[in-house]
Amino acid sequence: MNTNTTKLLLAAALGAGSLVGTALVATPAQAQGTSGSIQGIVTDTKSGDALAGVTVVVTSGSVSNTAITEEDGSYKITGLVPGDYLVTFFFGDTTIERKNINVGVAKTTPVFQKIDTGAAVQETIVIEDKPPAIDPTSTTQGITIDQEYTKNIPVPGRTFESTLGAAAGSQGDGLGVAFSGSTSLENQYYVDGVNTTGLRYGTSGSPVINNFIQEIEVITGGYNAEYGRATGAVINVVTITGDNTLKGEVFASVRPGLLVAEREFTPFEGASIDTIGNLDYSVDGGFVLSGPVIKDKLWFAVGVAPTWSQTKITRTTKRRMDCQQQLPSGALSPCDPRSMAAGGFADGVADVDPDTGFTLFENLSRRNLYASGGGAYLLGKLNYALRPEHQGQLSFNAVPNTSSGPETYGLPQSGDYKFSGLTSDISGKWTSKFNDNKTEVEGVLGWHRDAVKLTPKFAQAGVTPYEVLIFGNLGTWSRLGYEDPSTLSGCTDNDSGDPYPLVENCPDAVGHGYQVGGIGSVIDDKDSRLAGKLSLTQRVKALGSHEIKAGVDLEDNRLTEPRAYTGGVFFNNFQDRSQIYTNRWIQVAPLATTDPKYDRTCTYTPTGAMNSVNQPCRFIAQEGEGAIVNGQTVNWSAFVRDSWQIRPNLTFNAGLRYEEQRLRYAEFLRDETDPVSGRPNGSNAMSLTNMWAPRLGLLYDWTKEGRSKIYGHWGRFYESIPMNINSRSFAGEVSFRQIYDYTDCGPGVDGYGGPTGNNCPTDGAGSGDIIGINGTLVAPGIKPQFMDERILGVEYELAEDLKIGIAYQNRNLGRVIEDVSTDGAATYVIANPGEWDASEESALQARIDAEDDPGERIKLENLMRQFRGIRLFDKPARNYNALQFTVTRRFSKALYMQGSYTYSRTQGNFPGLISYDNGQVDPNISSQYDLIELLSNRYGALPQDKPHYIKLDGYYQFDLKQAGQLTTGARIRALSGEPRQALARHWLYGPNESFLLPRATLGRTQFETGLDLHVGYARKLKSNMELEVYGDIFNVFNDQGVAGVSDAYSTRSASNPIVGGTYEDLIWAKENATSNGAETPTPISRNPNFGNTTVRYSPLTVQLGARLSF
Amino acid sequence: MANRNRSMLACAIAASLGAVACDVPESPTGLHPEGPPKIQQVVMKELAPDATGTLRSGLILAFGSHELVVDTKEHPTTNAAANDQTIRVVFDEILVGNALEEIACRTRMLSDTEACVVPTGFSRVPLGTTPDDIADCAAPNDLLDGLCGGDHAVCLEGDTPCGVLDEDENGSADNTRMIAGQVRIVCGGTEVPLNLEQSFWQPAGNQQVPAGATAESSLGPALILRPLNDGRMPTNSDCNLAFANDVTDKHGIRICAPAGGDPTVDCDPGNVSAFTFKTEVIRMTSSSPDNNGTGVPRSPATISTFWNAPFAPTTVPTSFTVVEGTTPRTDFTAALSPAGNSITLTSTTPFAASTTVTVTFTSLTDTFGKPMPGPVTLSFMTAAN
Repeated sequence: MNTNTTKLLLAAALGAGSLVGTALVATPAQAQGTSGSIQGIVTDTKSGDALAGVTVVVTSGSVSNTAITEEDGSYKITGLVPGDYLVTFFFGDTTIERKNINVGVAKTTPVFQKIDTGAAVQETIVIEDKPPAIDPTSTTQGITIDQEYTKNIPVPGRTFESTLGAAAGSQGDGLGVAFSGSTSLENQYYVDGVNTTGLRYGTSGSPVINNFIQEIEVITGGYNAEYGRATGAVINVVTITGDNTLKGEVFASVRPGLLVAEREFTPFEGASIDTIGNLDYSVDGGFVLSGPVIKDKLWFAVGVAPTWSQTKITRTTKRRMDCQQQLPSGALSPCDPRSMAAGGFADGVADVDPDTGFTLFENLSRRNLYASGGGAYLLGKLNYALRPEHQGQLSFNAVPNTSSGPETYGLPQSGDYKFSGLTSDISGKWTSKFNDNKTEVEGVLGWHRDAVKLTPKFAQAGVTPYEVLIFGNLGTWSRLGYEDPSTLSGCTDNDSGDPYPLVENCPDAVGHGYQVGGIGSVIDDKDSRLAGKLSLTQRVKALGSHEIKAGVDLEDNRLTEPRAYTGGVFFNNFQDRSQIYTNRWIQVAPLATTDPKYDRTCTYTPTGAMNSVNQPCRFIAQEGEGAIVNGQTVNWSAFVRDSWQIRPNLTFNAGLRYEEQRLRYAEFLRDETDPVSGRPNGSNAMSLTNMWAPRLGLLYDWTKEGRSKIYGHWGRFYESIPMNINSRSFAGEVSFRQIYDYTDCGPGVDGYGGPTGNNCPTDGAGSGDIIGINGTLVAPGIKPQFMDERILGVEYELAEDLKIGIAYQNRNLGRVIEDVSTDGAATYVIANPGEWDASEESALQARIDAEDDPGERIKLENLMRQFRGIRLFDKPARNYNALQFTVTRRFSKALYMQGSYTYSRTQGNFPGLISYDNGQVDPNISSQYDLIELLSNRYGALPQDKPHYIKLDGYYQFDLKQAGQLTTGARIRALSGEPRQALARHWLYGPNESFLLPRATLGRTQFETGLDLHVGYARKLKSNMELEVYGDIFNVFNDQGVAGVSDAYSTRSASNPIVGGTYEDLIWAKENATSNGAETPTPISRNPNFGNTTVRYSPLTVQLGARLSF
Repeated sequence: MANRNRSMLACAIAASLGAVACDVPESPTGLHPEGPPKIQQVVMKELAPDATGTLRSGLILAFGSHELVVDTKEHPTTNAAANDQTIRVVFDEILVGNALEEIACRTRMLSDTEACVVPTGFSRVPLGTTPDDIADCAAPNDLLDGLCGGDHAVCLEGDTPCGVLDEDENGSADNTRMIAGQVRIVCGGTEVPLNLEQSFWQPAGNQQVPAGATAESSLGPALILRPLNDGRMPTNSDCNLAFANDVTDKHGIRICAPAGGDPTVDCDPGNVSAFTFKTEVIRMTSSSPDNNGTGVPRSPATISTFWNAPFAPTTVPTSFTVVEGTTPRTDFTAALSPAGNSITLTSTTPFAASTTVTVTFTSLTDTFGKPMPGPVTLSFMTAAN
């Protein structure tokens, strides 16, 4: 401990004797989850007795808060804005200052103090050591990221999401950052206390640029009853708040394309069109300014940060070759396209690179395409203090953005697009304290809105059916006019200039396809959440001290989106099998309907039936009835928790949370009758109640001064179902797929390589498959999805500012909500797979027994079959076990460091809300349980399973005295690869649905490492103005390692899982007919790209920036 | 069995601690790889009378049971269809495919005059061969010598790789077929030849029924056995299955058939005697004139009979008698259709008027040499004029 004695400048001004109970100057209020606390015990140095009546003042800038120690010497000051504080203890003539006390979001910083009551001389003691960074009241796991971190550590992105990976147990998953074995869609995000979680999928809904952020709190486990609706992590973002000092920052950063390494090309078998994107530039700049409007009463913070970026996409066309042979030496011969009979090397088989096994190509043409985007981050914030104990806040965040991009596998007039979006949040909060701050009431109102719209660049594409030509030939497609003449001539087979007449020059061997129709799905989505919450905190003394908090919150979530295809239909034009699949949204009616709006007949054969059924139906057009879906989900919760400090070093946390979630039918269905149950839909499609979530925690500090804790935690956490389910399951989603042979669809279209889907019959003459014809049922008695968590851990301040920790964390999904189908995707039942309550079965049986109407009885018996079938499905499982070792050296003496090593295993058969294996993002209604034959082989190491993950972040500041300050920072990552498997197509559901072999039986991708560096130089321009220039180098060694490989063993063949099979068994796997799933004796085809790299880590990138702060 | 128990015990302990991940849990969509591979069901076609008494062919579980199959379709059969028969043998675990199927090979030109030809056109696949090995041996001709070699090389003529037949150039075999003699259907001591191209090993599947299928048609993993000549079986025969010694599961254990197809019942590896079936007898399926028909024209004196099995041609000429009233007629000659399952008797002399004609077949044998169990009689009344 380093203790200095100086005179206290503030002593006279503060006057210890005048400080009684209330704050001198108001501190801007913070909402729940956006502020922190300081607590401790003051004792006599010699006797060790508790000292009552000591005045404790915490000061940051010109704002202060005050408390008086209790009989047991304890004190606690809450509602502190995250940041560094001066804590001053006044006792008699003695004044003790503790400097640089850091307070984090939702953290309690312990500041224990001993005072020599026998000291005769009036003195001020200044203590500059750091208090321990161990929160003695909380069992939460996670990390706090402050401005120092985002300024001095090379953070790969510009918004807060890019910092989250610093937390132990976290990993990116393509849609965000996932924590503790979960998926990234299981997190809850709060910005300034307002829930900004994306409504549709549960992604991060409101990006905030790091320059606007005061602090980010990432809670990866062990959170108390105040938090809910998350089975991943809780992320609290606190933006900059104004105080009595005018301050600000002007900043800019740029990632010039010149300083981005060339992206490593990943060869893919059989692609005649290659695309590779390289960043041209990424630029952002802006300012943030905060300060007083009315001193001590009203403060403001504003920020504006526009951003622009452009990516160059190099598109290359190429053709296969047939002119080389491997020589006895192993080398390839020179190219001689003459036939073998004529002395050349053309043998009718495309040449292959003996080193890679990939087909050899020669380039035909190259063109550069550009994708660009722009937007702005906007921040506005007002804080008001009616009196120090009555404060409010209004805040506003918005991100308008636009982007545009080209079609790369098709015609520009089909796929070139423009995209626009607007994310906005408005919130208001009020906090009042009473009863000497022992009672606190807080209210929050917030509104989050997200709107996105996709517009084709060419208007015609917005009203034309999407059509993709698959497994055809680029030579044929070149006649459509977009490709260069060299591609047209080079890919055309057997014309006079074809040098390789024995092979097909430019086949679409891997099925990228070529888009010739419209843009496809109409996207014009608007989501919003109106939320309010109210909480009451009461501190009481009873067998120790209690901090009891109770609260309620309510959310009204809404969604509006089109469910329509441009032109009302889309076509998969399979040119290898001369068939066109037409896909439409439809609405079906009972067979006996006389409603004239059902003007079509959708003929299909129900599963297991011998004869087809002519189902009355109507096609849902691009506009009109059924083309717009309006969904609504209402959530509410209540909680009570008590942090009971039994002894100063022993804390027991207990909490109970109750949640409900009501998901409503789309508006147009609320008055309809369910076709299966025959019952009115009513308002709520699914009501999840009885979500009781207890949380327990116990902490013990054996040092008795906040330098250690050993702790345990158990809690139950319920999922909050994102609204995607509203639009898909509770809005009458039914599709009709018809398969036409080319002979049914008229003559071929020049350039297509066959007829177009536009000429296939639309009169309903062709039979097909109706997916979801019976709609979606909700299993009676369905129970909410939850996770149980156990944590055991130890934290200890090993040396000054050096904290080490070890924690064991276990998370188990206890129950899952997913849709299942027991009749081959004709009916979906949202249920708890593998379980259906016996009491519900008895109740339904009683209804059947009591039913006299034979028709109704048949309906009920059908329901019984559906519900009993739920039990056939494997119970979902996801089990996460982790051992985390953490080390943190808080910033002092110029060095900051934090690191972690996590050994974790994530095993089960259910990854969570993202189906990583097939790329599906349909939370709670993935395809996994739709068809029972798809369920085998799913158990094993899940895609999240990356056992070893090392993270090390740090920076060092060199004080150059008058010359300024030099900062060097580093970010190091090393992690295990991803488990590999072999997947195949399912005849009805498409690619990557069938686990041919047990999950993770094919090893994992390679271990990867990465190093990012930061160098910054700062110099004072004036006393309160500093200019810093910096450079970040990401992926210093330009190691564009493997982030993913293709697990698609067969993209063309449909085949069911070989239960418990091994790699050798794939030789004997058989195809199912893609038209009806019938078994055949034909071996499945192999995807030439199976096992090849599909995703690489980003190349070396340099970011340059400057900050002028004042 | 022991390993599984230990695993389950460990799992139970772990579960009680609530901490440790277990092995793959018992699952409705799993199989049972412990112990010998057991025949769990056998699906085949049986002739059974419908509501009108007419015999109809339909799929039944001739061995074992399944909850989605009605009881009336689960029983040992003594009337298995002798035509268009396909036998699906469902196992409770996967077998080693290398002992069941072989893959198609191509012909590789070595020079203007020499070619590398695998004699049968198909190649067995050594144990341990992976799809990557197959892909190596499916490489273009100029790369074959460098890629296709070692213990897992396939499609060899001597040591020379001829190449896997892979016309679509995706690195997998275009075709496979059953290996002759590895799985046999034996009926009354007679081996039923299999259509090796249409018979196959289906390693996928379990006791769950895929979309668009029925339990009778889709359970797996399964051997699908299709006799030659459109699924022809000997008639009136007691049949059983036989497997070569190297047809085993991954642990080298031979197949057995537990009593009743109950997978919880133990059975001795190699013993499949619990499963037998009997095929239908020779019977006339229809005739012209109809049996018991009246007013049959006297001329032409032609009697066409259609049967459920093709006959050995040599047995046909002496297999029948025709009696007009009480008078035998010996002037009828018999002609066997090319398919072998239709016999037409003709005479140049018209039938007598208003007379009962009785035709009796007594000594027909099917193409497997299986005789009729007894005479089959057809009679009709001729017209007055």
